[in-house]
Amino acid sequence: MLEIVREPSCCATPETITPAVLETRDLGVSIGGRAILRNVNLSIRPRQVFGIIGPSGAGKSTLLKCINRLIDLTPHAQVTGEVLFNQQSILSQSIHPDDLRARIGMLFQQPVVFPKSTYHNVIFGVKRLGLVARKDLPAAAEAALREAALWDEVKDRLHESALKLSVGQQQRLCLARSLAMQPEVILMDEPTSALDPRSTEAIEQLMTRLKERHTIVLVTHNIPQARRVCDWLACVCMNDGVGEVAETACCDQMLDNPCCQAVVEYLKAAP
Amino acid sequence: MRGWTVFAAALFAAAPMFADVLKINGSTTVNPVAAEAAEVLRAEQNMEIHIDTQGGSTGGISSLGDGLVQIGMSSRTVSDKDRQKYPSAQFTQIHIGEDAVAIVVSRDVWESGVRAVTRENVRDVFEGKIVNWKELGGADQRIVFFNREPGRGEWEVFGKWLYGDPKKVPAISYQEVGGNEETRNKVGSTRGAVTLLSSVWADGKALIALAIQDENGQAIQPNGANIASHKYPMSRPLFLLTNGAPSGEAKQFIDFVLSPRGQELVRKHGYLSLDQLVVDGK
Amino acid sequence: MTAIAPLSLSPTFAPSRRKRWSFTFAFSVIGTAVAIGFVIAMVALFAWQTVPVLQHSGSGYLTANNWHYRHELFGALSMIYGTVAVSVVAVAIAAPVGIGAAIFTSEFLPPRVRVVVKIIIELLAGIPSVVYGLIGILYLRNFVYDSFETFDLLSGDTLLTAGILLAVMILPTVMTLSDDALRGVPALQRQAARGLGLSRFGAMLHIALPQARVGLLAAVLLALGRALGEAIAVFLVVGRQDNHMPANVFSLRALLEPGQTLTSKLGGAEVNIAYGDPLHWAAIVGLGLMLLLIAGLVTIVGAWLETRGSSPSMYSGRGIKGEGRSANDSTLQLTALHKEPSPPTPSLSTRRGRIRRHRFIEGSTVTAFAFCTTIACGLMLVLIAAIFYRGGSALSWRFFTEQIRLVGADGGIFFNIVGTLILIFTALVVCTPIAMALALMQGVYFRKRAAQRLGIVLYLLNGTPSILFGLFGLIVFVKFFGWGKSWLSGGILLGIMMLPTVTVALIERIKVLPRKYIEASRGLGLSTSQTIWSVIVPQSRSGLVTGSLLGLARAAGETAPIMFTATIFAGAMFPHGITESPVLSLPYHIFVLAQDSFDPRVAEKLWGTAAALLLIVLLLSLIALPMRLRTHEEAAGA
Repeated sequence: MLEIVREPSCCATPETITPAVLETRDLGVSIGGRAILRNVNLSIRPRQVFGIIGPSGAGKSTLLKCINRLIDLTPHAQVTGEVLFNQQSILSQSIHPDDLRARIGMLFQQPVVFPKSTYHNVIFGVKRLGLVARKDLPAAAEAALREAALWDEVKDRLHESALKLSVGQQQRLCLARSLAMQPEVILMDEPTSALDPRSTEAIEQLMTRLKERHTIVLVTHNIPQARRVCDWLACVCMNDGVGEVAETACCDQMLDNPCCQAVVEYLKAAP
Repeated sequence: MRGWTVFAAALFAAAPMFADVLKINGSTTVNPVAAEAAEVLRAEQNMEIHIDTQGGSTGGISSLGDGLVQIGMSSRTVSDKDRQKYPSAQFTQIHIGEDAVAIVVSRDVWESGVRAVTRENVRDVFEGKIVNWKELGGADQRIVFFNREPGRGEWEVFGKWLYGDPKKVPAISYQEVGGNEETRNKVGSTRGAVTLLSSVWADGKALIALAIQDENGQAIQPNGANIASHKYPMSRPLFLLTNGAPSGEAKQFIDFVLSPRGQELVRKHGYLSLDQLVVDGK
Repeated sequence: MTAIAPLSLSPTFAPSRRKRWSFTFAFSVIGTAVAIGFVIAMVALFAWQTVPVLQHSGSGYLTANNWHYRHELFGALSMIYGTVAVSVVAVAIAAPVGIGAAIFTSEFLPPRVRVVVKIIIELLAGIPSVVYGLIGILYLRNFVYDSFETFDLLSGDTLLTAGILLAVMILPTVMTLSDDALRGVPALQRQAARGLGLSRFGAMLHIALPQARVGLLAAVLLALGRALGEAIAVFLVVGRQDNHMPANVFSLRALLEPGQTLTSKLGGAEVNIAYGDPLHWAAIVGLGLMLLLIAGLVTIVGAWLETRGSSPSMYSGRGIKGEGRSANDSTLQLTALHKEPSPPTPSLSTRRGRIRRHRFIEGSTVTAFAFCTTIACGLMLVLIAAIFYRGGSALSWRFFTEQIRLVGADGGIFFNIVGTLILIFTALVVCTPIAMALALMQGVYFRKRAAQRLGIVLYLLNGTPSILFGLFGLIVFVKFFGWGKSWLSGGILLGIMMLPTVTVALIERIKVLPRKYIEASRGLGLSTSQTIWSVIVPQSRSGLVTGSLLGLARAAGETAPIMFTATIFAGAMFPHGITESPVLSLPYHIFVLAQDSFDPRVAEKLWGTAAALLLIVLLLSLIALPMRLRTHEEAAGA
C-alpha cells in the first residue's frame, strides 16, 4: 500500500493558494476490462508546469488523455471518478468533449503534422472551428508561430509543405497549431523524446516561457528535464499492475527528498 | 525446365486416349432430349457422353465440321453455306422430331382480339410498316417486336417463311431475346409484345400462339396435323448430325433416340415425335 | 559491412547496394513478367486478329452506326455509346452511395460492426453475374418498365436497367476499396485533429477524406473497370438492340431505350457464329480490342490524376526523418528566444467567442451516409432473400450429393460443385504467387515511376472484360495448345482474372505497414529479401486473405471465361488429366438452364444452384473471419 499524497509545507507559497484549474478525484481508467489507473487524485494550479513522471507502462499517457477526453477515442475504455476543469466536471455531459479539446491543447510524442503547408497546419484548428475571422488568419498564424519560436525559421516558406521541416521544427509547429487556439491548458506527452538535444532544449525553453500564460501538464521520462522545467511533480507508479499516484510534491522536494518508497526506487533507476 | 517439357509432352501424347468420349454440341432446342437420352445411356450402358450448347444450331454444325464433336444438334437444315464452309465434311441429318414455331403474343394482345395474322401482316410488322395492333384488329397499342438472336433455328425458319431465304431478310435491328425461357419471361411481361417461339412454350397464360391465316382466309393452328401436312408453314426439324454415316457410340446414341423410348423423350419435352407427323409427311 | 540503404520518401526503397540476385527478386521479376506478358499477348493477339475488319470497314468500324453481319456491315458506334452510357450510369449511382457508405462504416461505426458490414458487402460481390441477370429479368426490368410508364417504354430492357444493375454489382468494389483507402489514413492524424477540438465529422471531412482521396479515386476507377467489362448481366437486361442511337444523347429518354454494349454483343450468339468466318470474327475480336482500349484510357486518366493530386506518401506521425538539419535549427531557435519579447495576444475582437458548430449539417450528412450503408446492406439482404425464397426448397442433402438428372429437373449438383471448387482452387494456386510477385515489385523493389507503370498494367487487367479472357483462352488453350476444354485453362484464366483484386489488396497492405518494422529489420542487418519474408509477408497476410476472398468470390460466379474453355453442360465428372477434361460448374449450369429449360421443376433447382453458390462464398468469408477480426482490432487500437 502506497502512502498517499501530501503537500510538504516547504512548497506552500501564497501564490499557490489559487483555485486549481484541473483536478482529478478518484480517477480510474480501465481498458478492455483491465485496470490501468486507479485512485488518481491530482490538483493542478494554473500557470505552472506540472510534471508527471513514472516508469513505463504506469499509465501516464492514459492519465493525460483523460484530461482532454481523448480517452474516448480508445475502444473499450472506461473512466470512473471525476475530472474537473475550472471546477466543472468534464466527464458529465455538460461540456461537449469537442469544445473541451478546443480549450485544452495536446502535443504528442511524435509530431503529427498534417500533409499541408506550414501555414495551413498552424491555422487548421482555428480555421475549421471558425474561431478567427478569415481576414485575421494570417495574423493569428504569425502570432502563434512567434509564440512557438518558429516564426523566423518558416516565415519565408510558409506555404511549403510542412513535411519538409525537421522533427524539431515539426514539433514546434504542432505546438503553434495548438497555441493558435489559445488554450488554457496544454498537455504534453513526452514531447521531446523523439528530438535531438538541441531541439529538446529549445522546447524546454519554450515551456518556461509559455507558462506565463498557459498551464502545462507534462509527461516526461527525463528526470533532468523535469528538474529543469517543472514546478510541481506527480509520480505515477505501478501497484499490483495498476498505476497510482505515489506522490505529489513541488519539484525540488520530490527529486531531492522523496517520501514514497516507490518513488525512491524509480529515481534511483532513472538517469 | 526439362521436367516440365517432358510432362507436357506426355499429356499431349495421352490426348488420344480420351477420344472415346462421345461429344455432342449444338441447339438448345434439341438439348433437353439429347441430355436426357445421355443420362439414360450413361446409367444403363456406362457410356461417357459430354453435352454442350455452344452457339445453338450453327454452333453444332460448326463444331461437327471442325471435328470437335461426333454429333451435332441442330434445329434447322444444313445449308449450302455450311457445306461450303466445310467441304470435306459429309453432313448426315438424322431427323428425330419436329418443332412448330409460332407467332406468339402477350396476353393483352390476344385479349384485345388479335387471333390470326397473314404472312403479309407479319412482313409489314417486321419492316415497320404496321406499328400498332389496332391495324390488325386489336387495341390501340404499339407493337413491340422481340427478335430472336442470330443463329437460332426459329429465326432461320422465320426468315425463310417471310422472304424465301434467310439471307434476303432486310437489315433491320430490333431488341433481341435468346433462350426460350428468357423469351417467355420478357415477352410475357411486356404489353403489346410479339415474337417467334417454339409453340410448346406458349403456355396460354402469359403467352399465346396466333394462328396463321392462309390465302383462303383459313386460320391454321400450329399443331401436329397441320405441320405434317405442311399447312402450317413454320416448323423446324430437329436433327442429330454426324459426319458421314453414324458409327460406334454415335450410332448407339442415335439408335436410342430413334427408339420408342427415345421418341417418348421427344414428346416429353414438348416436341412432335416422328410418328405424330402424319404418314404423308415424312 | 552492409551499407545502410538510404530511406527515400516513397514507400519503396532502393535495394541493398550489395545486390545479389536473390531468389525473391527473381521470383518477383518472373511473376511480374508473366502478368505483363499475358496482357501484351492478349492485346497483340486481338490486334492481329482484328486486321481484316479494319481493312474492310476502315474508320467506319468505329464511327458508323450500322452493324449487320449478314450484310457484312460492321459499324460499332451504337455499341460504343451503349458501353459508355451504361458505365457512366453505374458509376454515377454506385460511387456516391458506395463512398458514403464507406465513410460511415469506417469513420462512424465501432470496429466490430464495421467488420460485419464489410462481410455483408463482400457477399454482395459473391453473387454471380448470371444471378444478377436473372434478378434483373424477374424484378428490375419490370420495376423500370412500371416506374417510367409515362415515358411509354418499349419494354423494361433499357440502358438504364443495365446501368442500375451494374451499379449494384460494382457497389461492393467501391465500398470495400474506399473503406480501405480511408483506413489507410493513420489514426494519429485523426487523433491530432480531434485533439484540436474537431468533431468526428470534422476530422473525417478535413483529414481523412482529403488524405484518402487518391485511394477513393482508385476505388471508383477500379469499379468503373468492372462496370465496363461486365457481360452476362448486362446481356440479359440491356435489350440487345443494334444500331439504335438516341436523338438526344443527354436526355433521360436516351437511357430508357434498349441498346447494345460491346460486352453484350460479345456475350451473345454472334461469337459462335463468327468463329470460322475471318471477317466476322475480326469484327467481333475488334470489339474486344475496343473494350481493352477504353479500359486503358480510363486507366491512363486515373494514373495522371493520381500524380497530380498525390499527397506525400509518408505521413508524419510515423517515421523519423533526416536528422541532419537540426543543428542549424537550434542556434536560430536560441537566438530567437533571447531576442523576441513575448508576442502580443491577438486582440479579443479577432476572436469569435463561440466555436462555430454545424451540428445540424453534420448530423444530416452523417445520416445520409448511414442511409447509404443501409441501402448497401439492405440490397444484400433483399437479394439473398430472393435467392433463398426461390431456391431454398431445393436445398437438401440429396441436392448436394447427387448428380443432375432429367436435365436439371431432378437430382442434384454434386459434380457442379466439384467442378467449381476445382476451378477456384486452381485459380488461387495460379494467382497467389503472381500476385505476391507483383505486390513486392510494386511495393518494395520499384521506384515511383516504375511502380506507377505497373499500376497501369494492373488496372488494365482489371478492366479487361471477363469475356475476353474466354476468347483468349479459346484461341490459345483450346485451339493452339490443343487442350480442348480443360479445367486447367479455366483455372488459369480465372487466376489471372483475380490478379488485380488480390494484388491491389496486398499492395495497400504493404503500403500501410508501419515503417518501424521495416527499419527495425534493416537495422538488424537483414537484407531486402529477408525483410520481405520475415516482416512484410507475414504482416500483409490479411491483405492476401481479403483480396483472395473478393477475387475467389468473383471467380466462383464467373461464366464468361469458362464457358468457351473449361466447362460443359452435362456429362463431366472428375477430370482425368489436363486435355479434354472439362468440368461441370455452378454458374454455367445456371446460365444454360436459365435460357432453355422447359420443365417447370427446373426453375426451383436453378435457384437452388444459385443458393448453393452463395453458400460457398459465405463459407469462404466465414473461414477468414477470425483473421480479419484480429487485424481490425490491431488497426483500431493504433
